[in-house]
Amino acid sequence: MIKKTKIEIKNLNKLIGSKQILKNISFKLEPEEHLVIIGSSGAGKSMLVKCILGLEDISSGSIFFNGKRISRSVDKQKVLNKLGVCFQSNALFDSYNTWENIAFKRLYNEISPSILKLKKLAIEKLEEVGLPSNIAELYPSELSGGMQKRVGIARSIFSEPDILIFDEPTTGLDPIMSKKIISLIGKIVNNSKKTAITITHDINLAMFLASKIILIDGGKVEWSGNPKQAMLSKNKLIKIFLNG
Amino acid sequence: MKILFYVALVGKTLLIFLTKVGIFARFTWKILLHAFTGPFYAKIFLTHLINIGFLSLPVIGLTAVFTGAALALQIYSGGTRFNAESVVPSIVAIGICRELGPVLCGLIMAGRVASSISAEIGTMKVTEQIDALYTLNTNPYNFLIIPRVLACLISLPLLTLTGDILGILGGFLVGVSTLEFNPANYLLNTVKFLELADIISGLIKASFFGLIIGVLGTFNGINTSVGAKGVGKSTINSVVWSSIFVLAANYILTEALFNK
Ligand SMILES: Nc1ncnc2c1ncn2[C@@H]1O[C@H](COP(=O)(O)OP(=O)(O)O)[C@@H](O)[C@H]1O
Ligand SMILES: [Mg+2]
Repeated sequence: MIKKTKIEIKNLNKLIGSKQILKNISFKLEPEEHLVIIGSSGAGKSMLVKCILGLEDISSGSIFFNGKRISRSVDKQKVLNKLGVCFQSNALFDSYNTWENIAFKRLYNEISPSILKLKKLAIEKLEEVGLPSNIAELYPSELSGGMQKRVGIARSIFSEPDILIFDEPTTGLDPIMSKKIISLIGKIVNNSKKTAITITHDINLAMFLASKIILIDGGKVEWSGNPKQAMLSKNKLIKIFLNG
Repeated sequence: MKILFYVALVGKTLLIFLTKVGIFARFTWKILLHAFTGPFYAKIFLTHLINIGFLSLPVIGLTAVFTGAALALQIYSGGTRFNAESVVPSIVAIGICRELGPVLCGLIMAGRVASSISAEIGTMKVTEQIDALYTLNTNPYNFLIIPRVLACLISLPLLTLTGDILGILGGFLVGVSTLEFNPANYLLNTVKFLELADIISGLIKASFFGLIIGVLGTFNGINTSVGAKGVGKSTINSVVWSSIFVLAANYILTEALFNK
């Protein structure tokens, strides 16, 4: 059986007012690929992901999921339900404790959720991302930055999504914690053979995780290829990223 | 060329204004749409009802008592000029029920509630929690906005009714202590001229104020712009605009309910 392309973006443009944030972006994401989108701050990486998620309207172009073009808002929610997203700012809900955050989707989508069962599942996810089960009742504000990030990751994998998306998972973390988070993401994606998109401005993360890299600058795709090609590339921006 | 500059300025302002009106119209339309399609989060609604309604009782109560007391003194000092001190109880009651109760309650709640709603939702917006809700198959209109708007809509008339009673009580306390009214007489005069329509018209006003506070609080919150100043700005906007709209709506509703 030929596997369908998971995500395809064709000539995507995004304008806010008269400012063009994304210019003519096209790429494909095949099953079990791990795409890393790299670019400096303000390049438009988060905006690109929000367009893919349908959280931002696009100005022109098209987005396909599993070969089907996404148009109406009904389709959008269907697609969203198959994605697990970990946001740049974690986006944990302040007024819910750790396990409620992780199990949120089922907690608020099932008619009569079984609290005990969901809590148990949430604690399993906690352990999967390397956190002790005794933080389940703590609130996000009581957790360290690295712990919050892990909880965010746990929440994004809770309902076994088809595609995982991580927006700058290591930004704001110390180097040791960054390394741990990178290997955690690698483990999650590889173990479950998931398709994933990770956004970063950290080339080490990209080289370690990616099966495919896209470099975005000023809202445009400047370069794309795999990590090996990146090492050999003569592209100026790639070189700047590689040489720190 | 100066004229052209001003024409352009007026045009630009008008355009920004119309865009805002458009965004607001879309927002209210979405509230209605999602209110009918559901789901309705009853437990979250009850939490907000307690936060918005019940926890506002002390501030509303204190405001009402002091205002009623001051009103009794003022009407007394005005009334003595043409030997009409006896109108104090009924004018205090009518003035509070028809006007001061709902308006003060509306303004205080604009300060206490519109601001906190807007700050809460605004913070969620800038920390991507609203985006996260969508990815967790939870619509923010159903989850965040409708429970808050409904809680305001229900709280305001109930708080106003409480305020009416406590305001009249404030007037009564001053009446029987400082102004040396006979307590029984004071109470009798309070109810003698007070009509049910006075109370009802005040409560109708209060419901509209609740709607204004809930809708403008959530609207400013959800439209918070990214950046450190965003939340502060939207909080100020929600307080200023809901206060202005409460006062404007008060005039319009008073005209509409006049003599009814
Ligand atoms: N709501 C918005 N209105 C106007 N400009 C925006 C908005 N959101 C993002 N931008 C702009 O879009 C560009 C890309 O932002 P973003 O995607 O967040 O960058 P990053 O690559 O750091 O994630 C930035 O220049 C930013 O200022
Ligand atoms: Mg970003």
